[in-house]
Order: sequence, then structure tokens, then C-alpha cells
Amino acid sequence: MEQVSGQGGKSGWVFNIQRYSIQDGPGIRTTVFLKGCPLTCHWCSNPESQALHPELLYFDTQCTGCRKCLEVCLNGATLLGSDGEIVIDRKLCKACGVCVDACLSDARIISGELRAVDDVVSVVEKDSLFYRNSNGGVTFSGGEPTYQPAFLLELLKGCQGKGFHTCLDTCGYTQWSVLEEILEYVDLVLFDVKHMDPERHKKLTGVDNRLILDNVKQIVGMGKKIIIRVPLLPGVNDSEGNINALGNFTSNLSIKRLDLLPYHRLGVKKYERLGVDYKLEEVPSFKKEEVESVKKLLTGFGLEVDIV
Amino acid sequence: MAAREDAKSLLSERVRRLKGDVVSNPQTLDTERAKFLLETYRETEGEPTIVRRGKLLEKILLNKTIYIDDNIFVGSQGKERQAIYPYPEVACRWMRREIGDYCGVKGRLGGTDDENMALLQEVVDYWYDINAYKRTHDLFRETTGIDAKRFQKTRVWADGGGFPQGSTSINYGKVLNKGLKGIMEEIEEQMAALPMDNIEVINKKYFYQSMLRCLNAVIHWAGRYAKLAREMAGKENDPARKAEMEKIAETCDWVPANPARSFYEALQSFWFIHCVAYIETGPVAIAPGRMPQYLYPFYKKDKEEGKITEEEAIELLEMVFLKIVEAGFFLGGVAHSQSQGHTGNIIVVGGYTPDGKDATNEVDWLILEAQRRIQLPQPTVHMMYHDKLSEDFLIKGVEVVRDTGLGQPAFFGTDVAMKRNLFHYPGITMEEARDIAQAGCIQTIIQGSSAATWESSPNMAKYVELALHNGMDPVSGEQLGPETGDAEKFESFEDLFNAYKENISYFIPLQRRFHNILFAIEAEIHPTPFQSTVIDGCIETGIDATAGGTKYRAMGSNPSAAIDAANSLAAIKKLVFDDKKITMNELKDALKANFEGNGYDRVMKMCLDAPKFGNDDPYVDSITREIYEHYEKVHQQMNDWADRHSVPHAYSITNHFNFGRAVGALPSGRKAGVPLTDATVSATPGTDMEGPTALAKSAATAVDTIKYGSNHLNMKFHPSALETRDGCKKLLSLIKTYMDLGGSHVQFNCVSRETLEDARLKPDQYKDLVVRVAGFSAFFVQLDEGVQDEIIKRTELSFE
Repeated sequence: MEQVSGQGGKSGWVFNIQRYSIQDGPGIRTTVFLKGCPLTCHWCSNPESQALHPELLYFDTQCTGCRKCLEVCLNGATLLGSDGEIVIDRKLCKACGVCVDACLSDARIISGELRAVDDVVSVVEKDSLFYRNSNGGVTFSGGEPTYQPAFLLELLKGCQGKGFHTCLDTCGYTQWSVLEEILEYVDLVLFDVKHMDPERHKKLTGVDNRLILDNVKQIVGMGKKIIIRVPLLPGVNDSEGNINALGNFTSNLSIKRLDLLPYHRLGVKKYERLGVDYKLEEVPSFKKEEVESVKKLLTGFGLEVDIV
Repeated sequence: MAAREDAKSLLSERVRRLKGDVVSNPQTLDTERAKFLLETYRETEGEPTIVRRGKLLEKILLNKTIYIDDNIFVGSQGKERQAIYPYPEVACRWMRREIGDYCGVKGRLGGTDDENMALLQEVVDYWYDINAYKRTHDLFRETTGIDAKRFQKTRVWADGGGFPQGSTSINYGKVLNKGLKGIMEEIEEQMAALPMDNIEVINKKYFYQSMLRCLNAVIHWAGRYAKLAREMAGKENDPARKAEMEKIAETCDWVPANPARSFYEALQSFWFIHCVAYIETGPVAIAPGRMPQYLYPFYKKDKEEGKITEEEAIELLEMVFLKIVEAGFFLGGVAHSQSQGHTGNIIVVGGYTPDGKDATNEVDWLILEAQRRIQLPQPTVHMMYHDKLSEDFLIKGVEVVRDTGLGQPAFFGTDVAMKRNLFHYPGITMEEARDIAQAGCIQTIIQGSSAATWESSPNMAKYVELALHNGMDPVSGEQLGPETGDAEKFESFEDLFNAYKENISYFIPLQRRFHNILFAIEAEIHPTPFQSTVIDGCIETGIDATAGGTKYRAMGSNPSAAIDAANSLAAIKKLVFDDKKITMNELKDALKANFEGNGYDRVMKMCLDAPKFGNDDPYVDSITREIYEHYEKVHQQMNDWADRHSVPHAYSITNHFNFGRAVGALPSGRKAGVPLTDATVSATPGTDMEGPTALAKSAATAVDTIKYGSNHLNMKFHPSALETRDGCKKLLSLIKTYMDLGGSHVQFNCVSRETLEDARLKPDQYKDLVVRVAGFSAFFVQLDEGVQDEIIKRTELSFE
């Protein structure tokens, strides 16, 4: 399990800071998205979050075909395709950003920026009055925020030190000793459970789920507030067997709340922009009744279930 | 749109039919007033103006054509529904110019016959050289040596002349509780106490006499409706309709002369007074104000006695709204493009009681519900926000925003408005300071005692062009501003900013002087003896509302497009002085070329990438604040035409659009001719990348909302963001925080882009679609294409 602690925790890789985030915990929040993830979920709606280091995103719909990017590319990574279209050789691209500056139509951006703890905390601090008025705060998400544990720890300390409610949105695939230290500065955990079956989990995300489920138990054991979040995918993890297993697991641990995040295809375009194949093409969108029936099944376990 | 349709389906068959008529019938031209105006002025030659104006109103009310239609409320401005007329004594030279087009402007009005045409010619001839606007220009030129038309033409400013301004708040509660007879007694007492020994006193006597003449005429006018209703009842076979006619007759015999005895009578009395105010000065910005406060005692009594149900009360309110939306006035092309037909009928819900408690009562709820169902552009409903408002009332407000797409209610900070009143009006009582309504677009005023005539908008973006060209306007080629030096030689950003501020220091006093002349002349040409009877202060002082008799005055001028100026100055600071990426020369060349050719697209990108207002970025937000602060300081160095302290404002009508046509490419990256930024603290469309909290923070702190009478923020939300109760509550937290930070106004447009685009393709199917533009609502399909474009372009802030 690779984990990174760049710059001794004083800075780290961030790919987005979203203010007025209202679906990542209570109230109005600022969500800090950290780059890098140990999982490779097929449906990931933030594919640009998976790799730790910066990547070039290319928006073909914005491109006017002026070819300025071709002229300036230092690594020969931007090329002309057989039909005269712009092609990016991802192996050669170093995400240096020269083409971004040259592009006049905002068709290129670099995802991922090395940012200092103080810098991130000062952005979070900007909306402090909104947090106070809405019982909101800051959420760390990703990627997988614990993938940069030293950086995350400093961010959490910084934000809690300012008095902000902190929320950790995690896939849970982290050594307990690392997670335990981080959790000291976390007020609420949003914990993703993708599948109850270890084999299926591995196939879908690239990793086994045992460590993840163990971590849920540990978090509950230490009395930390937790909400289980389930990205619900048709035909992938919405079978009655899996939902029942999920219901049993959470209710046995006396967990009260579970959020369902029905699958959406909003991230699909991002794969193209990254030049990565999307592995989940065939999955249809959910019907409202289908999500409701999963919800009903889970409520039967005494869980409070929200559809986010 | 489902919720929008659901709400409309609750309308009664009668209201739906009346609304259909209003939406599909065009406005028509009514020449009766023109005839009465000529007759009165010929009959009264040599008499004091104040007497002539009283006689004019009397002649109109006693002789105008009246009608009773399917609306339960009677009384109308024109001789038929949606008939409008000109006020040539205010301004009329444009009428001669546009006379071929007269009936009318871009075909908005139906045709008229030769006789009426001749009458219009005659009235224009009469006022051609002596109307207020013409005389103002003459006097301004004589005293300053400057032709103010240059500034209007080059759009350095948009002046407040050329159209009738009511812009006031009437004490409706007093009329409902005392009746006009009670007010007449008050006037008689004042008159009896006059010592009659000097010219001032004699003028007051004429004034009081004129007031009494007006009120008598109003009572007589109501009596004409009683008579007509009785005649119609006599011929009516349907017993229900016959009974209704008899009820109308009985009501009109009683109000507004006497105190109202029921909710229905209160509304009829309100409407008579409101309508006569329209007739006297034109229906501009005469605001119904805090209706729930003055109507509640009547509703409560009826409710307790079992005489009215909530549904009946909602239908009555809807029918009054329909009377309001019928009103209009005749404008020239330029004035129309500025106002887009807005009449400024603002109803205020929420707010405080005189002793500082939550003032909300059942009528507040009924008004919100009536508006949710009827969905008209006028009147508009505004909510005076404060922390004591109940959660369910606030959520109801957000639901109206969501369900109607009206951008209503707009939300206003009550506490900041209260501080504003205490700051501006020494000696004001705490009770008055809490009694806040709005007039015009979003200007806060004190209910029943304020005048709020509009002193014009300066074009703050134009000053950037002038500062960059040593006072020369690069668009017209004219030397308009002060010579502030060659921009190429400026050594620091401060040099440039000083040149910019020098333009403010030069133009604002000139502009205020123009309006002091204008309003002084208007007070002399067309005083308002009727309105003076129902606005606090005028009876007590014996001074007409137009001459400064109202207890409070709420309006100075209001800068437009300051955000474009701030973004432009910030871009120059960044690119030319801080980062030194380009020279002033290169920038000016690129602007001159409108960023076209010569690799200037690169310069344009740099300009667009420079810091922009609305992102909670101190780099540009501090410049914005400094512009508004300098403006306020210069503005307050002068008093108004009645030598009173006035309040500068920060709202935009649609001048940002109008002005945009006359402004070349700007350093902000905006190309020539494109509309400027709407409102006064909104972000330029497409530039607020940090989301709603950042925009709210930039907006709340841009203008000192205690010193200024308003700020003006438009935000657009997709209705889906408000589908859940949680979504509504988060919006309320956003509103609260904005107000806590000093915000004074925010409104949310909740129509989807798809809807608007569809409406443009199929205007027939969206005749009743209302959108919020620059502080007011309008029928979308009736707006200029450019304004439509801009509404569609405004960034949708998503909750994703």
C-alpha cells in the first residue's frame, strides 16, 4: 500500500477546493479534494483524482483548432492525428502547463497543484461565517485524502485549530495506525462501502475489502460519528444479497445513518479529457423506484437512509 | 416547470380569465388626459401653478371615461384597460421626433385616428419649449456652459429627466383608517391656523386649497363608479353579478371618503388612492409598500367575524395585483429601453413591528401565496429579512422563488436598512427607522413618508475609457472628461486610479447639479397636491412633496457598471504595473482594435484571466470598494434641490445594457458594445468561478450599505438546487450570511437555461413567462434580444 507524505506534511497535492459544497456533510462546507487514491474504481466520477501527480485535462469541445499547443509543447506530447485532430501522447506529457498558458480558448487545464497547508487552511477560513450559520465546516475528500496522511493530518489540525467542524470522506483503505492518528482531528467520518463481497470488491476497485470493513469496526469502537456512504451501481452492488449484507453489517455495529449515492454519468466526459478508457459504459442510469426500493430494504434494518 | 404550472392551476376561473386578458391585450394610447391638460391650462391662465395642477386633476377625475369590467375592483388610469398616456409637461420633444412612430414605439401601441393625432400635435406644441426637461437643459447650459445632451448621447450618464417620476411611498394606512374626510379635516385645521401675513403663508393657503380640491375630486370620482355600478346592476339579469354590482356601488359610496370597514373595502380604498397617484404623476415607483401591515387589522376582523376565507382573500389580492399590472405610461424609445416598462410596484413582506418584533402576520403569507399563483411581473414582492422571521415563513419565501421563476421574493437586510435610517436621518425615531419599505427598484425608504426621485445613473465604465485617454471618449471622439494626463506616462497604478477618481469628482457634482435644476423646475411646473395629502410631512409643513415637503428623502444618484470599472482597473494593475506583462501602449492598442488581429487575442486572454470581482479576491474587491467609497464621498459633498441631505444608491436599472452599447473594449477583457455587468455588486457573467459564497462575500462588502441606500445582487439558481427542504435551508443560510456581512439585497433567478432558450424560440408559448432583470421582473418575451441574451448567459450557480 503506497502512501505519500510529500514535503513532510507541509504541502501536498490538491486538485480542487470547492466552496459552498452542500453534499459532503452537514451545512455549507468547503470540500478540499486531495489527489491520489489506492483504489481504481471503474465508476470513479473524479478520474483525475486517482494519480497523485498533476495531469493534463483536454476539453475537445472548447478547442478551436488553432494549434498553438502544438507549437509550444516541449515534450512532443501534443500531436496531430490522422484527421488533423489534436492528440495527446499521455506517456510523453509531463503536465508542465506550457500549453495551458498558450491556449486561448481554455481547452486545457492542469489538474493537481502542490499547495501549502497554510494556503489551504486560509481558503477554508474564508467561509467561516457560512459554516457558523449553517452548522457546516470543512470536508476532506479526494481521491483518497488519507493517501497523503502527513499533509491531511496537518490540514485537519489547522482547520480544527480554527474551530471548524471537520469531515473526512474516505474509502477506508488505510492502515489503522495511520487512520487512528488522523481521526483524532475528525468530527465526522463519511465512510465509503462499495461492496460487501471481498472478491467482487477486488474486481471492482482493485483492492480487497477486509481492511476497509475492519476500519469501520474500529471507528465505531472508538465512538466516532460515522455515516456509511454507498455509491449505488445498477447490476454491480444493488443485488438484494449485497444490500442485505450491508444492512446486517451496519446495523450490527449500531451505525445509524447510511447515504445512498445513486450512480451518475457526470464524470464520463472526464475520462475522455484524461485520455483514459471508461470501463463502465454499459451501466444504465437508475430509476427512482429502484433507488427507493434499496432504501426501503435498508430502512428495514433500522437505518436512517438518505439519497444524496 | 411542474411546480410553476401547479401553482397557476390554483387560480380561480375568473382570475385566470382576467390575467389572460392582461397578458394578451396590447397597451393602447389614451388622449383624454392630453385634452384635459390643454383645456385646464387655457382656462386657468394667470393662476398659481399649484392651483392649476389641482384643477387639472379635478377635471380628469370628474370627466374621464370610466368603466367597470370583470375585476371586482374599480378605478383605472386610462379610459380602457391598459390604456396609457403621455405626460408632455415633463418632456415632449421626443414626441414630435417620434410622432410618426407615436402609436407607437416599435408598434407597441395600437393605431389612433387623425383627430387624436392632431390633439397630440397640439399638446406637444404647447409644451415644446416650456416642458421641464427642455427648461432644465437650457438652465444647465446657461449656468455651466455645458450641453448636457452630450453626456446623455455619449452615455456618460443616463439622466432622471424625460419621464414622469412618482417615486414615493404613500401612507395608505392613514387613508384606510381616517378616510379622506379625516385627512381633509387635518388640512382645514392647518389652513385655519395660518396667520395670512406674508407671501410664504399665502402660498401655503393656495397649496392647502389645492389639496382639498383634489381630495374632493377623488371622492367624487369614486361616486361616479358607485353610480355606474348601480346603473349596471339595474340592467343585470344574473343575480350574483347584480349583487356584486350593488356591493361595488355601496363600497364606492363609502371609501375612500370614510374609514374602510372590511378587507375588501380596504383594498378598494387602497386601489383608488394608488390609482389617483398614478393619474397625477404617472405610475412610476409609487410603491404599495408594507401592505400586510396596513391590511392586517381589516383581514383579522373579517376573519374573526367569519366574513372571509383565506381563499377569498387570496383572490381579492390577485385582483388588485391585476389592476396594478394594467398600469403603464407612455415613453420614448430611449426611456423605454432603460426601464423596460417597469413601474416599480413593490409590496414588502416581513420586517419589524414598530417595537422591533417580527411583523409577519397572515396577510404576509397570503401575499406570497397570491404571487406564487398569479405570477405577474408587477407588483413585485420583496421580503425584509431578519433573524426573527420564522423558519416556515422563510422556507415559504424560497418555495415561491423556486416555484415561480419570478426571482421573488427578493431578500433585503432589515437590520442594515435600520442602521442606514439612523445614520442618514438624525432625529428619526426608532419606530420610524424600523418601518422600512422600498420604492423604485430596490431603494429602501420609510413607509408613508419618503420621496425617492431618481437622480440618474453615471456610467462608471466610461470613466475608465476617459482616464485612459486624457478625458477623450475613444468611442465618440469627443473630449468629455477632465484632462488627467497621458496614461502611457503613468508611473504607478495609483496615477491611473487617481485619474479615474478625478472623473468621478468631475462628473458627479455636474450630474447632481443637473438634477437639482431638473427637480426644482419640475416642482415649479408640476407639483403634486394630491400625493402631498397622503405622504407624511407635506400637510404639516405646507410644502408640496416635489418641493421637499415629505418628511424623508431617500434618493440620490446610483452608479452603474462599477464592476466593469473595477475589473478593468484590476487588470491594468496586474498586467501593466504588477506583473509588467504588457505596456499601457500595447494594452490601449489592443483595446482600440477591439482585441482583433495582430495577436491581440492573447492580450484579451490575459485581460480575461486577470482577477475578477465576485470571487472573494481582495486584489479586485478592494478596488471595487474604493470606487464606491470615493463616489459616496463626492456625492455627499452636495445637497439636493431642496437643500437636503440625500442618500447615494447602488442599483442598476437596465443601464448596464444601454451603456454597454456606447463603451468600447475594456481592459477587463470585455469587447466593445457588449452589455456591461448587471446590478451593482453582481459578477460579470461567467467570471464568478468560486461559487455562491465567494460571490456573496464580494458583494456584501463592495458597497458600504449603511452609507448607501442599497446594493444590488442577482444570483441565478437552477430550481433543482431547491428541490429538498435541506436545499432550501442551505439557501437560507447563504442569505443570512450575506446579510450578516452587510448585504442589503439579493435576488435569485430560478429559471433554467433550457426554459429561456425555448421561450426565445417559441415566444407565443411563453407569453406569461416572467424573469427578473436588474431589480425588477418583466415578461421575458417582451425584452430586447440583448437583454434576453444576457439573462441566459448569467452563470448558473450549481449546488453540485
